[in-house]
Amino acid sequence: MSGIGARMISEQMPAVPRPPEAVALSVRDLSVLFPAGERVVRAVDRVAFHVRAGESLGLVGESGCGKSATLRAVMGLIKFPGEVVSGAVELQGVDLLAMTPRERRRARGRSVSMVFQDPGASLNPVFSVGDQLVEVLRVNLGLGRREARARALELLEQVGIPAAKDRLRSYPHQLSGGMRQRVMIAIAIACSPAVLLADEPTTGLDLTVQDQVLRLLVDLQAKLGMAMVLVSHDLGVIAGVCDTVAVMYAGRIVEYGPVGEVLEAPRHPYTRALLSAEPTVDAAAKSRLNAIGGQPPDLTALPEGCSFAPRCKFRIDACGSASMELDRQWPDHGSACIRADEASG
Amino acid sequence: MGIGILVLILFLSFAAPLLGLPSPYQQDLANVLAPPSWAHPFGTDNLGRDVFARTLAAAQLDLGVAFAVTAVSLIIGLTLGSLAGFFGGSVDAVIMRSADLCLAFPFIVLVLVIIAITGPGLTGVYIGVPLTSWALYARLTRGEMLVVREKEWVLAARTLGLPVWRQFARHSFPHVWKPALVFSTADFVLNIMILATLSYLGVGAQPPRPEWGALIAEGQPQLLNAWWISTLPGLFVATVGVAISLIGDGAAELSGEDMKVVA
Repeated sequence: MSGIGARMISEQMPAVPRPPEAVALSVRDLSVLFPAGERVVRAVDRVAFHVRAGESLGLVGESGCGKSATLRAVMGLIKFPGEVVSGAVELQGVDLLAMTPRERRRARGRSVSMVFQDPGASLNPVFSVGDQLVEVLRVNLGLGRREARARALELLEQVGIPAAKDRLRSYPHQLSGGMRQRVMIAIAIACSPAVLLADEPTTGLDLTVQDQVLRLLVDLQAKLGMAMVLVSHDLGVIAGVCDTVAVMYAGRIVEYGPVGEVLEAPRHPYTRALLSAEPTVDAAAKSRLNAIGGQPPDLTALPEGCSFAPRCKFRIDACGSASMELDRQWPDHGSACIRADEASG
Repeated sequence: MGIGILVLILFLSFAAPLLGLPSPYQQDLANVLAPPSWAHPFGTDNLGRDVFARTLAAAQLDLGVAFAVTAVSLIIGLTLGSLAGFFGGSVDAVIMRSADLCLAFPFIVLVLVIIAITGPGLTGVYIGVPLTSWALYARLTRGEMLVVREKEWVLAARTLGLPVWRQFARHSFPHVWKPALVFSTADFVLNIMILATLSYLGVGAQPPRPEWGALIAEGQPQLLNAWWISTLPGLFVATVGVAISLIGDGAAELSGEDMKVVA
């Protein structure tokens, strides 16, 4: 491309500097469909986000809003009959979705890996913790038995497991939930991936343990310079851990921006509703939980225009024909609400 | 209990010459059709051969052949069934439709056809039994695998970039083989019965080789005047069947799964 052409294009694009080498994970225009009988569920709809090395992005939303499907699509784990119908997932500049299955398998674990919601279910019950760590190290990094053993021990120490040496021989059922999640994290970071995906990693753990696990994730992320995508339905968790937050609703990102701004001055009515639905300790015990009225929409039959409109307090007629595009793009604080600035005022 | 009975029978069968029992082939024409006594616990047959010695000698043949065909069926069925369940798609379709095909034949008729080709003897049993019974193991194991392959640790193995054969062999297979093994104890009994049935019909083990079904068949013409020749080996076989079923129940309990095996 000639210099003039390049300049013209860059002038037409919104003034967003995108140093490609710093972006660890870039997802563009990602859509995932699942057939549901005669109809089709649009689980992920034109989702886009970027995470730089050393940064973390939070994906929040209700159950079934497409958070987990997004992560699975990034991992290339959407199984038939589900299908990624459009989009690109660039991992350090390489499109994962365009890779051959073999290349993609090699990228998993080494460049991008994942921590799951239920550590009890994501460890193989018939092998010891040490065996599972050693397997990953030997297969992915080609370490010898002895080296792998030593590295496994280091990893367990790194994730703060006491008496790590004895724990290598433990089976998953002999460990507490928090310890299992630490082991899962150790396995996930074993090959120093550039991007770590965490799918509700603290759901189902005690509050105090949740806090420890989150702090561990943040520490490791900073130490290893990983980019992290944290999926949660808990805004409090995101607030404590992430730099950027993307709020998802019905498969779409409806608000996207720096975590402080989004939580302080939400620009989408759904985010505001989520924030006010968050129970707080100091709220008067008598006050009722501020639930969002209505039900999440049927993903096989989304309404015209804004899919949050039927539940929205600020709905106007124009919402029925509004496009749900973010009004400003990364890294600015964007909202998909046509009344963003009125409603948040 | 079951193991005790089985071990005792195997021990007696191998130690029979040392215990002073006559050879199963030795004829004593002066002493034909003798009723059970201390010298001949199961009596003698029309050639004066000791029925107890023949019954014990037959244990080696029957248990050995039944074990071999059960093991072969188990191994083939486990392998193909778990592959079908894990990979799904065309692998699943090919393997499971073959299984349907093998099960669609009336079993005894199929074995008789094979024997018609190979000639009477044990070869037909060795080929015919695994040819159909692998399919039962395959169905059972495929069902287990369909559940296990959706487990999160298998997904985790995928997200870690482990090769497919590791996802299969290390993270899925160790969770699916137990039901098939438990089923194999019931199948073992069934295979003894099949071998005995075929020999009874005269197409399995050939005389003078002692085999349980053949023993029963040999005694049949004498049933009214020398009931012991057929009856006592028959009861003996029933005991063996019960013993193995008890082992199966024990195995099912040990495997910790709530399984009802139809024997």
